Amino acid sequence: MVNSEAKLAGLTFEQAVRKYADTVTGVCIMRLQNAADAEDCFQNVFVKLYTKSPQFTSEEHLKAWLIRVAIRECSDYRRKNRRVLSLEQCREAGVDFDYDQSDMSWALSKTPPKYRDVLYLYYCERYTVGEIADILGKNRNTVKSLLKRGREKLKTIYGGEE
Amino acid sequence: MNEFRFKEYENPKTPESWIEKALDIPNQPKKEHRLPRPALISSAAAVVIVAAVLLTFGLHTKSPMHTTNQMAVISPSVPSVTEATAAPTVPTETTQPTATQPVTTVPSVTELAADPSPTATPVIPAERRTLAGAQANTEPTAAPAEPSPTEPQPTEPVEEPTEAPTEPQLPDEEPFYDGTLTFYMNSNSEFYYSDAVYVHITRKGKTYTGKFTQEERAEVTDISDSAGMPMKQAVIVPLKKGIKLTDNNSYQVELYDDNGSSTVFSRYNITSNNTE
Repeated sequence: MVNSEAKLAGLTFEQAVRKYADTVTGVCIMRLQNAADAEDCFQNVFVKLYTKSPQFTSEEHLKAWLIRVAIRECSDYRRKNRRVLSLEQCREAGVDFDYDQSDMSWALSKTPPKYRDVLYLYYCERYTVGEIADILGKNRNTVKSLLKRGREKLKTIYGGEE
Repeated sequence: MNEFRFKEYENPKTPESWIEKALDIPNQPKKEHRLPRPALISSAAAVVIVAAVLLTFGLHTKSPMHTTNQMAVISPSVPSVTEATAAPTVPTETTQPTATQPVTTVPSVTELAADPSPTATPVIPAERRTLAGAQANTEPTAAPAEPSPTEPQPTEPVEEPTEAPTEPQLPDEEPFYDGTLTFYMNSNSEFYYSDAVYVHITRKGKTYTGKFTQEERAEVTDISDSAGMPMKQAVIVPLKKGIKLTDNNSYQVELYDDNGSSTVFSRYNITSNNTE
């Protein structure tokens, strides 16, 4: 095994996978809206975790790194497959997970992509604005602005009530 | 109407198959790094370095110092290469004329082109004699300013070659002229205020097939004559520039600048004893 426990903030690779699998899955599903694509990105994220062997100071650091890599991986995946997927295919490609319309995941799937990351990290992962800014590499005010507009989008999706 | 339930949100449950695949990552065979790119890059770098070295050192087989020494002892009666070995003690300084080589007797390029007086020739230094020979040739019928064997040699450097080299020079050892061509420009010269002076040498003849038309920028330096008047000299070392001049050939030498000024010496012979 390449990664020692110290390198994964005291966790073994298996422990890290099991602990943060849902987080990575959430990011991938939220971004790609497709289970097969999300699985590819999910695997890629943990392949990178294993092969890159980054140094983590804490579990929060590890989690933020995984989210960041997952977001980037999904972006790369979309860019690479943009030429292959037609618009019709994109429309037909539904999310395989069971979504309740009252669920946040469903709501996020309806919001424009640029608001999804901020909304997901803020509401689902409970990150603060500053932490989101660090993870996404954006300005704090930009994050605040995206959060505000994203909320308005969600209100529209949910019929104007929060 | 649906309602937000932020606090109830949980990430979708990850399928166990995904986790098992992820846990199997350490057991998968590691992809071996193919190294075509570093090898390719290093090969290309090696080729570039070799080409740069060849271009840098391949064109100049002689050091500038060696060429300068050759230039300083050119004699009108002996081929330049032989002279160089015969008189190694001749001072190489050319910018400051000596008492026996008054600059005032050396006409400017324009002056010489207009009036190639042979009387100036005996008192000019070796490199200036080269110039005088060139300028004398601007008029095909005019004889070059060559000191005859019966005349006394005007300066010691010119007399040195009469002592003869210790060893005869083989004709095929260094057939190319490795001295300098020097052009003097006083304040009346049209080239005096030129920032850059170029020398264009063309061989006159029919049989030569190699590259022989060259345009090279000459090094221009400020000097002063014996009277303290400012002058400029343009110096070019043909061989250093890849221009291989040989004895017994006639050349056309054109001096020109960026301002459109041009002076042509139509029949210039590289060795003084062969000037027409």
